[in-house]
Order: sequence, then structure tokens, then C-alpha cells
Amino acid sequence: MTPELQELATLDRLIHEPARLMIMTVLYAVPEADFIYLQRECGLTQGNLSSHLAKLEEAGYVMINKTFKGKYPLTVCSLLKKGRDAFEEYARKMRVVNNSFRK
Amino acid sequence: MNTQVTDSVLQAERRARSYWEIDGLAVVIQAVAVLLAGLWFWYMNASGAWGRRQTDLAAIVCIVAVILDTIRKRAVIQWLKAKITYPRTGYVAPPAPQLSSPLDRGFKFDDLGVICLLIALWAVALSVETPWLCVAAGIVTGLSLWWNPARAKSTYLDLFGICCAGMLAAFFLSSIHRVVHLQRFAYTLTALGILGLVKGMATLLSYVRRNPVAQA
Repeated sequence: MTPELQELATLDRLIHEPARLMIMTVLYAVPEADFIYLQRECGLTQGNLSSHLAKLEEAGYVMINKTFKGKYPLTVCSLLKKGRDAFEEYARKMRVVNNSFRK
Repeated sequence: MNTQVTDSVLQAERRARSYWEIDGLAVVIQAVAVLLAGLWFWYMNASGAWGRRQTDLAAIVCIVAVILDTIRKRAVIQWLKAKITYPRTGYVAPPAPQLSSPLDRGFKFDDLGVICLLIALWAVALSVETPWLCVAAGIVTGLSLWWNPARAKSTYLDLFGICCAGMLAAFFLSSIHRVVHLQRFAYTLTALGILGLVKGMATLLSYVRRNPVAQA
């Protein structure tokens, strides 16, 4: 097995899960987004999104903040530095593996 | 970054950037400002019909409203979004603005050609006062409006088209009523404001109908 391919084994499993990868992708692109926006963008159910966000928050990748816009309560999520770095590292590893397939 | 991941991130970024316009509220607020400016010109011209003090007072009220609208536009839109948009489709902070040139954003020279053609057409319409020229300008404006969404481009042509449609309405009215120059400007701004308001309200109503309030 090539060293490039072995990179697959070192992928961050927390991000590699499809639903969490979607959440991380959306949050990487924007400064912050609320629960409903994430739910609609990722096409996840409330419970599903909630559990994935809890895992990402537990890992220190995502910060969840309950706030208000006017009188409307918002559950705002944003990517932390650790999460941003982890996502970039994940993308780098995927690129290495992708390039090894093309050789 | 991996190409596929980069594409997904760029797509998410594009969607978040266009999210601000999704409900038409920004257009409605801008249209109200333009409409107020138009009304201000109306009142400035109406000094014959109105008492001088009333005209001045109306002008001051309109100016203050336009200034307040300009300064507090984002805050007003945010307030309205908190009532209408966030309970329906959620909240997202727009990504940092792109600093790339219009050419990087997909600005093509054929678009520039259409804009130049429209500007030239309206410049002629300014000097030659005939409704038939306005009809020609209206057709080109309509074509540019049709052309833009078909090519899924940014909204600059769309906005320019609305501006020209406002000019069209103004020139039609000015040709019929033979109004003085400043009144023509009032017609333009008022028509532009009304058209913007109609476009914004249509977008808003369609958005509200498509997106009922999310149940907790």
C-alpha cells in the first residue's frame, strides 16, 4: 500500500461522517449560521442535526451559542479554530489520496 | 484543499451570500428610499399648489426619511428579517465580501456591450422626446432582464434593468404630460421606487408562501 493511500487511515473520522462533513462544509464557508439554516442546507432532521452538532461541539470543533435576534431566539453555530484546522487537514489528506489515484 | 471539498465550500459560500436577497426585503427597503426621494422631488415642484411652508416641511420629512433609511437600512432589514426570514429559513451571517475584480466574478464583455447599449439608448431618449424611442429602450431593457436570469449571472443587469424600466415609465409620462425637467426626475424616481417595491413585494410574497414558519 502506498503512503498516500495510507493517509486514508489517518482521516479524522469525526469529520469523515457524511452528515458532519456537510455541517463542517457549511460552517467553514460562513462566519455563523443558525440551527434552521443548517437543517435546511444539510437536509437533516432536527434530532439528527442536534446529535451531530453535539459531537462536533464535544470535540471542540464547533461553538453553539443561544442568542436572540430581536425577540426571535436563535441557536447560532460557528466553527472554532480547532475545527477550521481539522477541516483543512481533512481536505489536504483527501487531496493527497485523490492525487495518488490519478497517478 | 481537495477540489471537491473546495467546490462544496464555494457553493455553500455562494448560497450564503445570495441568502441576503432571498426574501426581497433588501429590494423593498431600497425601493422605499427611492420612492421617498421621488416624493421629495414632487413636493419640491409642487410649491405652486402647496403653501411654501408645507412644501418645505414635506421636503424636510422626506429628506430625513431618506437619510435615516440610508443610515439604518441594514438595521431595519435585520429587524424585518428577524420577524419574517429567520423563523422560516434560518439565519446565516454573510461571508466576507469578495475582493476580486468584476472580470473574476464572470463579468463578460458582452454584458458590458448590453450596458453600453442601454446607456446610449437612454442618453438619446433624454435628448429626443418621443415615446417610440422609449418603447425601443423598453424592449432592450426587457431583453436584458430576460437575458440575465437565463444565464444565472449576478444581479447587476437585473438592477440596471429595473432602473431603466423606471426611466421608461418616467419618459412615457413626461412625453404625454410635457412636464418640466425636475418633474421628469421625480417621475423617474417615483416609477423606479414603485417598480422596485413591486419586484421586492412579489419576491417577499413568493418567499413567504414557499416557506411556512418552521415548527419547533
